Amino acid sequence: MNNKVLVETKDLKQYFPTGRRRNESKVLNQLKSEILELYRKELADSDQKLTFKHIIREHEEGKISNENIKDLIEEYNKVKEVHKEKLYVKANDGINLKIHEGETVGLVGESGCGKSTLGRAILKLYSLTAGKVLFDGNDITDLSVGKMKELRQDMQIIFQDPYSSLNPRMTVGQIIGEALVEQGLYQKGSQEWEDYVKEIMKTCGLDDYMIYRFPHEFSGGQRQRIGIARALALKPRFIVCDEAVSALDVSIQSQVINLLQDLQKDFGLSYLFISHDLSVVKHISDRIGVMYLGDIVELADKRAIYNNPQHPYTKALLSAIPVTNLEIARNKKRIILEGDIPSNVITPTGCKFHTRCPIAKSICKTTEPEWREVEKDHFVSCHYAGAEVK
Amino acid sequence: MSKTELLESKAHEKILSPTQLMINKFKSNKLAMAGLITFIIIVLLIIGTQLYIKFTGYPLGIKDPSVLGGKYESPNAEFWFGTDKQGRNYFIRVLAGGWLSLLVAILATVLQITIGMFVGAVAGFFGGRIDNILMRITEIVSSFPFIAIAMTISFLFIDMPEESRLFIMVFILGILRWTGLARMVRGQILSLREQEFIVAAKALGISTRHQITRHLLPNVVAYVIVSATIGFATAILAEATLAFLGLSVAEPVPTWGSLIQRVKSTSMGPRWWLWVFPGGLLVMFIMSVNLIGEGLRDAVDPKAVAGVKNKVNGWAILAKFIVSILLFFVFSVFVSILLLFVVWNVESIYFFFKKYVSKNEVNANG
Amino acid sequence: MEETKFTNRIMRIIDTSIPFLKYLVKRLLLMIPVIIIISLLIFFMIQNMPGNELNMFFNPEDPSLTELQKQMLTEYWTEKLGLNDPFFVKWGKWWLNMFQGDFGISITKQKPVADFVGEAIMNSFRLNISGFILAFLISIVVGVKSAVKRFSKFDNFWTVFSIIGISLPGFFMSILLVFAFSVNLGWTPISGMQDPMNETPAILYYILPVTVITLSSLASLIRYVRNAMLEVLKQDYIRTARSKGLKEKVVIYRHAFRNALIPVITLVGFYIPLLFGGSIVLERIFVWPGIGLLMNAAYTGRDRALMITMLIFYSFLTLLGNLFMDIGYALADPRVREGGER
Repeated sequence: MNNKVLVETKDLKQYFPTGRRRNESKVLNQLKSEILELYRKELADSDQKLTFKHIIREHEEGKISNENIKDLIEEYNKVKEVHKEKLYVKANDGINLKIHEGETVGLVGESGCGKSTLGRAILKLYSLTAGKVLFDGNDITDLSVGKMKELRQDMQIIFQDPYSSLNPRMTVGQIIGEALVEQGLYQKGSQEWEDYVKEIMKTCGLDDYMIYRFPHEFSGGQRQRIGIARALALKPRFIVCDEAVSALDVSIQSQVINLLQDLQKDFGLSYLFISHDLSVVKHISDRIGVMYLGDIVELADKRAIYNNPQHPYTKALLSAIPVTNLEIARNKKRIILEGDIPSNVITPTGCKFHTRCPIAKSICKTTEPEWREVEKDHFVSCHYAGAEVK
Repeated sequence: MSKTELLESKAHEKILSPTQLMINKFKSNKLAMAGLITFIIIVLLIIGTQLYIKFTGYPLGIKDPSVLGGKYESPNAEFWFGTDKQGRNYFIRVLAGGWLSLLVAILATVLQITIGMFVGAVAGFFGGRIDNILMRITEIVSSFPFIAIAMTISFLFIDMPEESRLFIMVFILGILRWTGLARMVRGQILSLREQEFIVAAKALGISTRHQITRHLLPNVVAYVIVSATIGFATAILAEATLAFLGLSVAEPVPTWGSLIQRVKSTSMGPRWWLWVFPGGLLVMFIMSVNLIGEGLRDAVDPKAVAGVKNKVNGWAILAKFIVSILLFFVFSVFVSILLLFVVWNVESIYFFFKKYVSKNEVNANG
Repeated sequence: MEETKFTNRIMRIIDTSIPFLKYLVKRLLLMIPVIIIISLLIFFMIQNMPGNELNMFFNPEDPSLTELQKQMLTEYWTEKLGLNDPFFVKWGKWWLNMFQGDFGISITKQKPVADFVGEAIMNSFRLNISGFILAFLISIVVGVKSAVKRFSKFDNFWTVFSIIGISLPGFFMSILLVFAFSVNLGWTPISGMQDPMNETPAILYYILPVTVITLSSLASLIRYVRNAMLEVLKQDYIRTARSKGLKEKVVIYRHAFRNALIPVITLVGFYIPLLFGGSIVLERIFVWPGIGLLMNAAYTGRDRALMITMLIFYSFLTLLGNLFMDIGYALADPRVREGGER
């Protein structure tokens, strides 16, 4: 593996508007009455008609000396600032990721944590909210549609659902070959075009006589191969595998994964392999990133992740892998996370994981943990990285 | 069989596209095929008559004695459908009436599809504000009471010459009836946009134009055709209803609705041909279109099981076709005879039952 | 203690119904611009009707009138009808009058419209409600049975029946029935609503029009109920219920039918306002003194005041129908009131 960086994201943010606004009026009213009560208690002899506005003005003028009231007013102002803010689904909330040439980066996490969004955002299938995507050292964030079209040859995607990802009204040949014509690589209907499509089909384990068939005549595994062939036909350097094997049964999963690995050897491809299946990711990846609520919380070499997990969430995830060896299974501690995954619209403050973290302390609620390198090439964002989880 | 042989045989396999699958499914639906055949026969009859009128200059309105028969002649060898009050050939008049219904319905359907598809596609594609505005307009149009507004519009242009009233009818039927189609197309496009193959097209760098023409539209067209068929049937029905109210194209140009309108309920028995033929044709025509629509709906529905058609030779198809035409004629003749029998003998049937049912007849007649 | 429990419960009910109430208010507010636009369009159309409105109230060619009388009459009626007002003023005045219960004066009846519309609505309603109840009862029974015994002889019969029913124009069906039962058999009266001599029982007058209403709505209703039921029978929870070993009757009536009823009830919501409007064609054939007949009279007599009232009335009914249907959907499906797509 050479160390040239192929794809890089810098603080990538991808928000989707929900069309709603934040409503904090309950909290505001409660704070208001608390402040008023405190104020009146403190200064019982002063004018009872004092309104809330007066208190705020006094605070601004620095006349209030009581620390409690000051704190409350500060909090009130903070909440008031976010009140009525437009709400977004924070699918990706600042992602920094480097993918080297010829390597496979696995991405794991609960469903809804923004794995697929990250994959698609890197391919610029959405317009980014903030941040940058670099491909081969060039910033592609604001490329025009025309320039992006050329780049699409180099970066491709394989989808999860083999049923909805193929247009039911096109033959296999058209599905695989359409982009070749569109990119101006081959003449439509020419012999070379057909030969090339057949060759790609063979590479992906499809018989070439199937070229005129329609998707409805194939099984799920075959359809997935068509999807792979479609992505490979353009000879890309980087492929996002968006849950590419999740919809297949286990025997076909291994076939497809072996196919992907063979292709990687032959063509020197880089993969971003998105999955929620830890064993699949373990098998195929060189490095693994763990995502939680739109953030990557841990990123390291495969062995480091599996043998020496640092983040409590990673530990919890790994403890959930079923073990066949009874001896180990008996001694194994399962970390069971309490509660549900929080909403990614209004995310928890501080460390996003603190609501479910078994070792959370008060600092986790207030301060966002830093993205730091605990060992060489082993990144974690946790205040207590490596701490023992009971 | 060796492996290469197997491959050879597979290379020559018959590949069925989704469209062919739909056609096969439609063909295996007997009711729908009967509807299609009926439809074709009636349309051919109408077009044939229209060509005859065009090329011989057959006068529809003027009382040309050379083509006139006696007043109210019942069907005979010369006048197949009898004659009307002025002694005009009723066969020609009925089929000419069909031509007008057909024309109005086709043009109105085209207008409906154009507006409906445009509004639905634009709303579905762009979404957001445009979608909101267009859907509001759709809602306004769909809350127009159809017959009442159609009456008013038709009344507005009551002084127009007969020829242009045809286009008024088309306008009314087209402009008031596109809302369902627009909603359907919008819904389809919204659900298609979620499909991964559209995202894939974008990821492959397919141009927006081709994304729309190759990936989106072909997947909507089938639904549009189904809905257009149903729209066509309702257009014929609505035109006939308006004609019955005297608001469509009027004399001397006949339509099915206006021909039926002229029949008084008291003279329906003795002058049965005046209503049996236009009414029968009208009902059969609408029914055939509805049957086709039902068949198409089943064929397009991906949830229904695909009918696998075995290889059939051409002769068998031809023979089947001829047999079904014959069957259809036998069927229609049988139904007409039955209808006539009932109509003529209603009284005797009644007297037959009267033995069992005691009823004060004098009272009812008063 | 009891009190807090009670208030808590009330609060919970209010909390859960607030999204729905919000949706309802939004939906009602959206109706206002729609009504305004529709009434403007209707007004515009009626204003541009062929014919001089003034001539409807007196005959300018009447030889018994002197020039002065004619002029005075013209001035009087122009003033009274507001003929010289600009379009929007007329439109505004009409709305103002309408809120005070004044719908203008009908020329054909020589009476204020408000005086006789109510009775016509009742007459139409009586007719429609009987047909409606019959049609819904029959269609629910038949539709459910057809869905349960799909592709059986029973199902096939009703499929063919509904296709014929959909294809048979209402006016043609009415003519056939009148011909068979009134002219030939003389069992029922040809037209009208009541015998002026009170010799024939009134119910006989109802039979034919109610039959036509029932038959023509039955066709589409049966298919609707059947499809709704089929959709439910396909669901997994029906399979689960069957695999639990429940009796087929329980599966169909307690599990499937209840869920299939939701779309049917929303359809009932759509139909209810329409019960007050009469069918224009049907009432014309049977000379039934309802709203539809009034509409006919308005057109033959070019009665503008009546026409506007009728058109607004019909539009309002259709709007209400759409509203009820949407409310039905919102009640049945929480996603609708949450605001639809994201």
